[in-house]
Amino acid sequence: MKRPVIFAAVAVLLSSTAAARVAQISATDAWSRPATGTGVVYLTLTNGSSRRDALVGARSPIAAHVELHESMTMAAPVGAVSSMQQVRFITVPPHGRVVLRPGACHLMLIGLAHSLKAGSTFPLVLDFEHAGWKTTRVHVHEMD
Amino acid sequence: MPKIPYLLFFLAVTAGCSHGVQLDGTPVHGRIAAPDVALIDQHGRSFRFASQEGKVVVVLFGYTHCPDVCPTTLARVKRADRLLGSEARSAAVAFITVDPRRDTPSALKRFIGAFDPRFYGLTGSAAALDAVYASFHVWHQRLPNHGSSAGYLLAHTSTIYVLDRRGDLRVIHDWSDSPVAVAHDIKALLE
Repeated sequence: MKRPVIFAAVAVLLSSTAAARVAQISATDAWSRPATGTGVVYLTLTNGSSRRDALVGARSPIAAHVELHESMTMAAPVGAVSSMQQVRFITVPPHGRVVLRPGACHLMLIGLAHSLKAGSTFPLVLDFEHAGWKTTRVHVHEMD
Repeated sequence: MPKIPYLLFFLAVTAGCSHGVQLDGTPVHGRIAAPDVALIDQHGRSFRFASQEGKVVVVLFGYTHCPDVCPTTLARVKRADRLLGSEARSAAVAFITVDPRRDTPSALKRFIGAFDPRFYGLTGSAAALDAVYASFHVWHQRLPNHGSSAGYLLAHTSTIYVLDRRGDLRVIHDWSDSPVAVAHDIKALLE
């Protein structure tokens, strides 16, 4: 009689652990600015688990492509030079937080289906290496 | 990269105050004037720096396919412009493309329109743009594409330049400087 109870308890424990593991990535404060053609998304990724995760992709119905990019600014003989490159993933450390913000890592919206107007919102689906797909809502406003 | 006397420019751009005006950005000593060339604005009209005489002009360089630094800089300059209140009438903002191949006047019109249609979105002939890049010591480089759907990206000077009422460059700011600091310097040059 006892054995099925133990199996059931272990199964519940394992499933709850797995659920906790995949549920502990969150994306918050997602925002974009008014734009046409090419746009951007900034947001905060928080990893509540003890396992490293990584954002590996994203998509949205309002853009033909959503890519992970990183901007860099370097001192130049006069002023500074800014540059940008596509990155394959953005690591979110265990119990850590990554802020995608202007001048750093961000999501590039390529081929916007329509202009982004201040006050509007749109859905964004994020793909994590371990946590899988997460959906968030992006708010369009003017300034960081 | 244009062959330009960087050292002379570097010596001209040093910390301190400029012509007795206290500035928050990096002041420019010595005379560096905007070039007298004709550019084309987002409406297809001719633009000359000389036509802005009497105004403080904020100049920045970028491209409309940039999602991050260029629009962030424009958003900050817009906020600085708003901080000027009624004095904004005595200031102008010029966004000059480093990507004339894609940045047609109509593309610039769409891009600038998302910020402030009063701002100028400027392109021009290769000769005119090169003259402007050389005057402001602007560097730009098309980057190799490693599979991005963005077409191509550019690295470029992201400095904010502020010209006084005579068209002389007086102070530069980093793109990430606060709008309050940029507004402060515009106001200082208007006085």
